[in-house]
Amino acid sequence: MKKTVLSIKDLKKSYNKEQMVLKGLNAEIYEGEFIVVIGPSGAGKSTFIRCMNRMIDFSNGQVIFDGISISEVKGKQLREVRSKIGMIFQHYNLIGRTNVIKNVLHGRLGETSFLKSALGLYSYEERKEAYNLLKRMGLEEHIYKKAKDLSGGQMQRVGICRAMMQRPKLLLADEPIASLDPKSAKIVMEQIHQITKQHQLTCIMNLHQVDYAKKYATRIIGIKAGEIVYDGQPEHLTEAMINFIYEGKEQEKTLLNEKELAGGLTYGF
Amino acid sequence: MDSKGVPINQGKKLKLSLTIIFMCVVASLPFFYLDVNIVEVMTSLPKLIRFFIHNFLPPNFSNLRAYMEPVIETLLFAIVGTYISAVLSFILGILMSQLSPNLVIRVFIQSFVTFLRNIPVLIWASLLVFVFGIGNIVGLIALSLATVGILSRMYAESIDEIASSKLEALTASGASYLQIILHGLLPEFIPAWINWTLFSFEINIRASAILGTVGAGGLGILIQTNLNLRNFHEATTLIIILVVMVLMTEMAISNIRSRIYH
Amino acid sequence: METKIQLTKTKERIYNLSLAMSLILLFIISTTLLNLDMNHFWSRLYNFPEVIKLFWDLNFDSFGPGIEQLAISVMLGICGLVIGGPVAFVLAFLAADNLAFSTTLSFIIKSGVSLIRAVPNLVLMLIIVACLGMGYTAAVVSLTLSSVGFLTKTFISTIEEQDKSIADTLSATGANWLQVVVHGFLPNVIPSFLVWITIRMESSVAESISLGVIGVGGIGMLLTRAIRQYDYATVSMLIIIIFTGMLILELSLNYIKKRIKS
Repeated sequence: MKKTVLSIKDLKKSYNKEQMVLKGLNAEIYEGEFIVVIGPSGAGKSTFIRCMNRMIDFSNGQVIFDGISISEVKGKQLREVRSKIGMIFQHYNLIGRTNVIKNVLHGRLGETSFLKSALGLYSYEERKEAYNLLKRMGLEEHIYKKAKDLSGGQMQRVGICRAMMQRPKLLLADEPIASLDPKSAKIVMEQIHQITKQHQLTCIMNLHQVDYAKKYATRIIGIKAGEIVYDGQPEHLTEAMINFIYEGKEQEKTLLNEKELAGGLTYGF
Repeated sequence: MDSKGVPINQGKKLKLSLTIIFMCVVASLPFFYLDVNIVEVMTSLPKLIRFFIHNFLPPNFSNLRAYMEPVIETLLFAIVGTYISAVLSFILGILMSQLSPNLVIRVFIQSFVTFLRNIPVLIWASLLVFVFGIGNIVGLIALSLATVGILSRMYAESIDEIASSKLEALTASGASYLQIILHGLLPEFIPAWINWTLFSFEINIRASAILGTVGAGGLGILIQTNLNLRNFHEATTLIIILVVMVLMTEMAISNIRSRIYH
Repeated sequence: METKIQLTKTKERIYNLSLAMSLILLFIISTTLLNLDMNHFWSRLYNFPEVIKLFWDLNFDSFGPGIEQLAISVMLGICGLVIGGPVAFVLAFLAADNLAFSTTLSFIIKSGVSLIRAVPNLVLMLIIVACLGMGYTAAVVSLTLSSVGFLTKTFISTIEEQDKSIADTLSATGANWLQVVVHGFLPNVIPSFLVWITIRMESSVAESISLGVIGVGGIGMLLTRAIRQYDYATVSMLIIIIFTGMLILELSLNYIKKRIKS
């Protein structure tokens, strides 16, 4: 019997009385799953994933992580919950003027006292761990570089290391490759897949590239207009179902489209 | 040129003409009310220059040695005032921004800073002297006030920009409020902070001269006293020293700026 | 493999540390040299609560005169801007690098303006009063000079930001200098100029109020008189009037700025 990591019950979110962005979502997330959430923009994917660690407060329902209902905790307890959930972002969200290794160590802030972090008193083990993570990503040469001096793909990999430094039980990823060119995107997807597999880490990821979803996911959730319309195995995701999910917004489901090619960074690996 | 286009165009033209007429009224009314003659104002300039050349020149450089101390004092006031202002504005800036610990504090500080900003510095200085008397601490406070109002607002805008884009990750990883400010906000804020601090130093040098009368030291009070006593030649020397100081500061700062942003 | 992993390279660490130490040292030295007399200040601070109680009264009799004098200050500010604006406009076009037909003229104008800005407006006012005597004309002359100082500089920087190729293209078609200015530059710079003018409007009124402190008229003078008479109630009333007035001005100018930008 697989262990439940995250339990989502009747999740609702509305920004004003009329518009409901999330209309009552239900799902059980089990240990070790690699879940990809697909759906057109505006469907609620971003809101959904940010409700998982309460970066966005939801209006109704429950999200139970590791036995704790996250809408009922605040302050220090909320931070404790968050420190066990790692997150990577579309725009990497690194502190540009701080160097790479410090950025990775930011992952430990949730479990380090303010004074220690201010004086830089991370333990040798923590530093070693940060260094090894970066080495695995091939970034050991860059540890003292300022984060803003890296390419997009490199920055995202630093972001992955930072999330892994939290030694999390759950990894959230909001469109992690949307700002990357195809080559870097491939490398980053591969890295995320490998590292989650190796640590048996549960992962929930927003993607709009359905091809990647099918390739890496153990389970796919399709969201359309705030509702879950598909929740099952990648093999069973038919072309018809994909078209249904992306009804009206077909251009968003491809791996490569002009917008990505034009807007994606020209750096690559 | 559809049928809809014509009335709209006329409406716009009418609005524009009305605005211009309104502006002309606003511009000319004060002159009539105050009984100020524009021609008189324009001819005052040559009159002023002649008066200046006749009474203010040549400057009297005999006391130059004695003026070194007030110059240094003015400089010191400007420096310390800048430090105080930079730190105070930073704190107020955070409290005024999205990163404020709670909404009540944020609104309160915003109102407080607006209050500071909308009252001219000299008025503040007069008030402070009224309550606390003349003294160099009073002068220092007045000096800091000159810049805190503007700086806090600029800082808050900068902080909001950083907070809305770069601090999400730190929050999501469970970092505490202080940690987010120290590790996330500060590093990203430093360029703006340096820029504005240099800017406020320039302002402080000038303000120090004016606020000298309320105790911010040095040149200010000397200039005013000499002018009041009609020692014009002395006053000219002091004014020249002040101008040189201001211009040198401007040059030094633009030098520093170009070196930082090479 | 016990080699310690540093978080920052040693060179950078040394640099940061020395920078921090020199900044702290500068502050300590400056404060010590200033001989701030804390005792006197603390004793006055002790009386602060009682003093605040005295301010709680409001003298509503002074409301009428207060409003009238505020209007006078505002009008003086407008006068200064109305004359200063066009003058700055002309000077800016004559002095801008990408337009000037005489580099000497450009240099003279730019230095002249720098000089005006280097002298604090209060000192400028005192000189003008020494020559022209107290009165609205002197105030307007002073405010005009300040406006010219500020606006010329900002106008010039706006003009210089424009692409030089416009000028080149137009003169290649045979247009003379005036035509290049009117057809090439004016359309692009007018919106920015208007924004600068609204910004200056606020400073002009603030300056006008401040100048009142030395006795030229307006609400600043009323306030100084009340202070001299220790008339706390009137002082409070006048401060509120000044604050409200400046706030309304700021909000209206922001509205105008938004309309210009659209």
